[in-house]
Amino acid sequence: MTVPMLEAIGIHAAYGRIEVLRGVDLTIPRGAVMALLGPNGAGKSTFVKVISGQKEATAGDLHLGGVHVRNASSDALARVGLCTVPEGRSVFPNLTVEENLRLMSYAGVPADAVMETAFRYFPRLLERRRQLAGTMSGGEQQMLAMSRALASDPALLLLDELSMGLAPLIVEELYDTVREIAETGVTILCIEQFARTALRVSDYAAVMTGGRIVATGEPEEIMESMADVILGAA
Amino acid sequence: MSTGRRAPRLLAATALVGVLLPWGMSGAAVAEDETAPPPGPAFGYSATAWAAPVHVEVFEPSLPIPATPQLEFMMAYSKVKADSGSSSGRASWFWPGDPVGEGLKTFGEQLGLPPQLFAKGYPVQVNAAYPSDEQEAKDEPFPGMVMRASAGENQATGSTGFTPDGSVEEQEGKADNPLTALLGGLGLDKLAPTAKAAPSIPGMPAGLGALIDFNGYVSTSSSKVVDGSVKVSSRSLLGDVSLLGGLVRLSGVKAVATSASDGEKPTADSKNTYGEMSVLGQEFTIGPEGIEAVGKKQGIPGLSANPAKALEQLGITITVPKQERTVEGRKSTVVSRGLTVEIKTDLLKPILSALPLGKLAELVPDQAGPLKSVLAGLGSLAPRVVITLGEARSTLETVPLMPPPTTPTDDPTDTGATPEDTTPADTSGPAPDAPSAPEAPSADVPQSETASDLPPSEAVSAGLPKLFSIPGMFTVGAIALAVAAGSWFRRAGALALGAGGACTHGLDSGLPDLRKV
Repeated sequence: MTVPMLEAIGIHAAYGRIEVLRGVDLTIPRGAVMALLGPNGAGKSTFVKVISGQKEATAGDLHLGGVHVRNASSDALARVGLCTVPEGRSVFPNLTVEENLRLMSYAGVPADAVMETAFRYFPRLLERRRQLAGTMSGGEQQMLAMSRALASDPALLLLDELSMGLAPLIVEELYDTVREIAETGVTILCIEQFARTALRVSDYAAVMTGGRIVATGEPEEIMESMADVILGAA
Repeated sequence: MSTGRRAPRLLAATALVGVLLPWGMSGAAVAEDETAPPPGPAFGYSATAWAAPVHVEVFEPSLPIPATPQLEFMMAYSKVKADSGSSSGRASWFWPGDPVGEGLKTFGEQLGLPPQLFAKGYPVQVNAAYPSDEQEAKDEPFPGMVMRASAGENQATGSTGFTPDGSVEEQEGKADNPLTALLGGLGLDKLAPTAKAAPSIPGMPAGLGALIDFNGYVSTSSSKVVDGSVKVSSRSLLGDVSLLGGLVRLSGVKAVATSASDGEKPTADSKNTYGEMSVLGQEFTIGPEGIEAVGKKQGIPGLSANPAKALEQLGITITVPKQERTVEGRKSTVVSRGLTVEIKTDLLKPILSALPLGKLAELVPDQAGPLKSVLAGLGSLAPRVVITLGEARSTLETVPLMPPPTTPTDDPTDTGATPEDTTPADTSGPAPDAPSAPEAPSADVPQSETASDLPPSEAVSAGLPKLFSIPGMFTVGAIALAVAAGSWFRRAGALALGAGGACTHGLDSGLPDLRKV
């Protein structure tokens, strides 16, 4: 049996006195795409922060590649291949596309390789390479954010609310690319509020409400039961 | 080759490059020094300001809204956000608070409303953003009601309000008390000679008129970079106010909050101006100390002579909030609020029960179940309502840039450069009341020396010895030795503490390389 890429066991996390994660159990097999769904305030983004070392878990165990990594620093996790595309994209608005990508070369990846990967997955960025990132559409900014993540040669990619504020057609396009990336062996965790598109490209899905995973399974099963699960647990 | 062996070599190589780089780069530094300074401030900053003449908050925990307060709205809401790279301005004459204004779509979905109602987001607002969106936006939904926003590289503004001529921006050189301008100078007094005859604001929900009514209001928020300094301010002005159908009248409230910084010293400033207040015809003045009766004291039948107690009997508590001006390090925060009016809910009950809530609930489709139940239950709610009249807030934080290197120039005539000479050529000098610009970097030579016959001198600094001099070689050798020793001690320490070195897959952090496991 192969070691899963990510295994979370009873993860708890809190903001001050408010406990947001109340025992999250989740396993993602290597090379799989997992969709983590749930309503606003369920704790999905906090869980991503815990996995990526941006927030300390107050209890529980987190394993990456079979090694206990709970509360490892985010920079150490990034170096070993964990990469997050945060909610809200966070590109540098007044740098050009090329300059945004070139920043990734400071992490040790040659600039040419960064560009090549970005333009291979997102040819539209090639047309916009000299445009200020802040003047691009939301979808194009999301492509740029994903390109920066890919430049680090990730093994585990965390995508937080990829579809936020984007038109449905763009979201479809982005998730097609997510599938392409997954086929190269990258393990992907997609955090989403809007389930349909994410489930289309996922191998597995989980539903989180109230800081707990309340359902896991194949996308089809989750699709059928999701409304009941979310509304029943809310 | 294992990563364990590679690491010390990498460290040593990095250190060597780090040592040699300053020598090699000295020429380049001189060249860079000759370029003109950037037009923006010589520091990073992040600024926010917003203002609203009327801010109503409803605290009712039984409402199924995951925010506190559960309901709120602001009349004439203006906001700016700016930082070193971007800026945005927003204006909305009726803003339902950030949870609803920003997240209308989520609320609509949760309440089960038809998507057409919220697909385009909250409609009563204009936004400008630099560089990501339009840099100018405006709308005039009713005559006299304006919403304007702009954003640029060094400025952002948001202004909105209701005045007869649509003048909402702050005007230089106007009367010191802008309430005078709002009520008189702009002609409102002619249009509305008495507060009683003053019309409600166009577009304001009719039911709210029984709670609060007013005849003129503006708010402006702005952020500017001028002469290397940043100033962010917000201002709200309110004309005549009538609470609870005229039981309480106020003749004007103004609140201003300003934060500024030259990158070193932030400042925080606020100002409040109040008009007069009357409770059932008895006049009071409002000042920093609270509310006092003025003129001939005539007891109000059935009410206490003490204004605070009289208001309490009416179910109203009016307080004059303390101004908050905080300067901590490089951060300045100002909260300026004119008056806070808290209304007891039993006075609202007749208003709520007079509304046909049951019939309204019947009109809501069954799919919007949560909204239906909220409407049906409104009559039994007992909310706490807090109205803030005149609210303005500003926050500004700066971070220093790394100072540019001060290197001597080759041209001896340049050594007498004064700070004025090194500022951009197109600056026409600071405004009289503007803070002075920070000194531009210049050669470290006192002006008195350059005026004498002494030969041109080199800048005096600790500096680095020449690379191929004996002290230089000693320095390089000492650093290389320190790197080697540091690496050895680190490994020895890790072994002593039982870390045991890197894991099987190789990274020094002890974490497995996820790409290889």
